Amino acid sequence: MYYLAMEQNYWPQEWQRGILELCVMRLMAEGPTYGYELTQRLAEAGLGDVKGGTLYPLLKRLETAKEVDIEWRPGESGPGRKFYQLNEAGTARLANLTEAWSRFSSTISDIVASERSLS
Amino acid sequence: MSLESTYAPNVDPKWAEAFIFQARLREIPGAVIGDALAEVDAHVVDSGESAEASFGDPKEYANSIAPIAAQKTSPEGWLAVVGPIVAQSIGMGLVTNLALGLKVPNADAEYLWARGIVGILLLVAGTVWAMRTPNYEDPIVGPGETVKPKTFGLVKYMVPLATILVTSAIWLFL
Repeated sequence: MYYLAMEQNYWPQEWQRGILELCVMRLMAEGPTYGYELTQRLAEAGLGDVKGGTLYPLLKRLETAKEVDIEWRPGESGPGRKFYQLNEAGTARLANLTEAWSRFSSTISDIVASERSLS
Repeated sequence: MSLESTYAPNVDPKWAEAFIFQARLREIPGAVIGDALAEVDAHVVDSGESAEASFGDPKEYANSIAPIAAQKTSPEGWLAVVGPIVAQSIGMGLVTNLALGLKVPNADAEYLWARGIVGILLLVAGTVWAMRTPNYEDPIVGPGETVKPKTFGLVKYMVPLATILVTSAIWLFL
């Protein structure tokens, strides 16, 4: 299995891929943000290095699903940035995902924590 | 100015070129390509990383966007391209047949005219249909840019023009 190398956290890369959308939507719920800022905030939160090649297709999917509102804002000096903000449809799905995640994670924790005698 | 330097001036032109090529192959709309390039451009400026380092292989990046953004030509889209040509061509056949038939002694003029009129109607209808269909163009545009679809194209008038020429030639020289 392929592991992400990070300072403290090591976990399979597939886990990150599966949960990235929920994390991104949660960050977007706090206000308009753009791709690079998302990678920074995800890294700060401890999720590790999320590549543009992984993040932007996800953003495109949210845009196609009409779950985010898009706004291009001119950059301070460099090129303009594409800001994403969760809209009503996105917020509704975030609520569903959040609820599903807490059920999922506690289910997994139960399975992993359950002691089995291998007699 | 090349497309790469217009829409992604801070991205390695080779990367941008390969991305555009693959995106075109995968039928990603021009507006989505321009949008994606602008986003890659902003990201490499902010991160200081190369496009290759952040986004990986340009071909694969285009492939990963394609299933989300590609728009295959719909059956209606094809009909709007093929339909007018078919109508015009049948119309041309009937009209030239009228011109030829009238040159034949003892021809059934009434029958020929009936078909000829249908032919003229088909030509007119096909041409009007073609005029209303936007030309198939899908230029790469940056964020916020829009292009007005053009509807004029000489190819739309080729069959009616040919019909007039051929019919006149038959009438004058046969």
